[in-house]
Amino acid sequence: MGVASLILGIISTVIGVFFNYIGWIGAIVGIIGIILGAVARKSAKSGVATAGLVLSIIGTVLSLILYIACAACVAGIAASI
Amino acid sequence: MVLGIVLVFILAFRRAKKYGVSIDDMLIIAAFSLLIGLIGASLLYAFASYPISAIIESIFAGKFEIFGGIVYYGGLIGGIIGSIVGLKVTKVKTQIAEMAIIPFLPIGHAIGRVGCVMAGCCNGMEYNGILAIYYPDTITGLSAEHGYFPVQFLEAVLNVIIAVFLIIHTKKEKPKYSILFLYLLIYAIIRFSLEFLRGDKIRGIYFGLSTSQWISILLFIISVVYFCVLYYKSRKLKE
Repeated sequence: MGVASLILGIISTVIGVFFNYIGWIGAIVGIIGIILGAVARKSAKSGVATAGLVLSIIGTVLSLILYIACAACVAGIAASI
Repeated sequence: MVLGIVLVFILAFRRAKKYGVSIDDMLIIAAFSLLIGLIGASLLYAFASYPISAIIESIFAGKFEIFGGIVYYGGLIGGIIGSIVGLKVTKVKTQIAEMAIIPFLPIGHAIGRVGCVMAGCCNGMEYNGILAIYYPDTITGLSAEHGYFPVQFLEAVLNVIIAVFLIIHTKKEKPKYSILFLYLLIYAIIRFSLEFLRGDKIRGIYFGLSTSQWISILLFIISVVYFCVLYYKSRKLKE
């Protein structure tokens, strides 16, 4: 579960930074990563699980912030045309 | 909004630590409530703003822009459902989780409302008096000719007052009732009243009341029934 959390954390961070327009997918992936990472840390505290958890949190926050900013920007441009 | 969510979780984690709940357990509860809360917020936005036929059509067309907005009540109800799932997984006591999270929820909500004012996504009714908000550009889609009542600021202030009350109320001893229902009771009354001061057009009006007002009535009734049952039970125990 720790490895799965790490992979999901990396995916959500990449989506959050480079693909803002699908940020909601990054947020969902990141949240699942948080759940898996926390469950893995509960059973055995490993470095991989902690890394997955931290990356998932970063990915979720980035995806949400940049997706909302991206959506607001597109809506603003559309309204001003 | 994101800042509000993050702040609520940080404050809740700090308080949960005092009650002996591990950060991993709180993260699981927070993640479930965030996931289902966001889904609930988007679903309620779509159902309150568009007819069901338009929602079905856009889903079959593969266009999900219709779910692009969020509504607080949808997030709250979804978040409660998510927390229940998280509590089942972690086996943390409901009352402890309630006391750790609920008092800080209005703080996050207040920050979110300030975000609403900044974005101009929802607004008050037309008003040109003191503290009126003027949107000088056309990006928000609002008229620049007149002002709007600062209903979101008023809601933010009231949310802070609720938060202070709940934090002080739960600081010293554990109450013998659910803090969640107390919060729902207070917020339902405030939200129902504030809806009369709002002016956004896409809110879903049914029989003269908005979607949020109908939900407020429902939550108020549920909370009152809960406190009545609790009072009846405690009286019976005394006898």
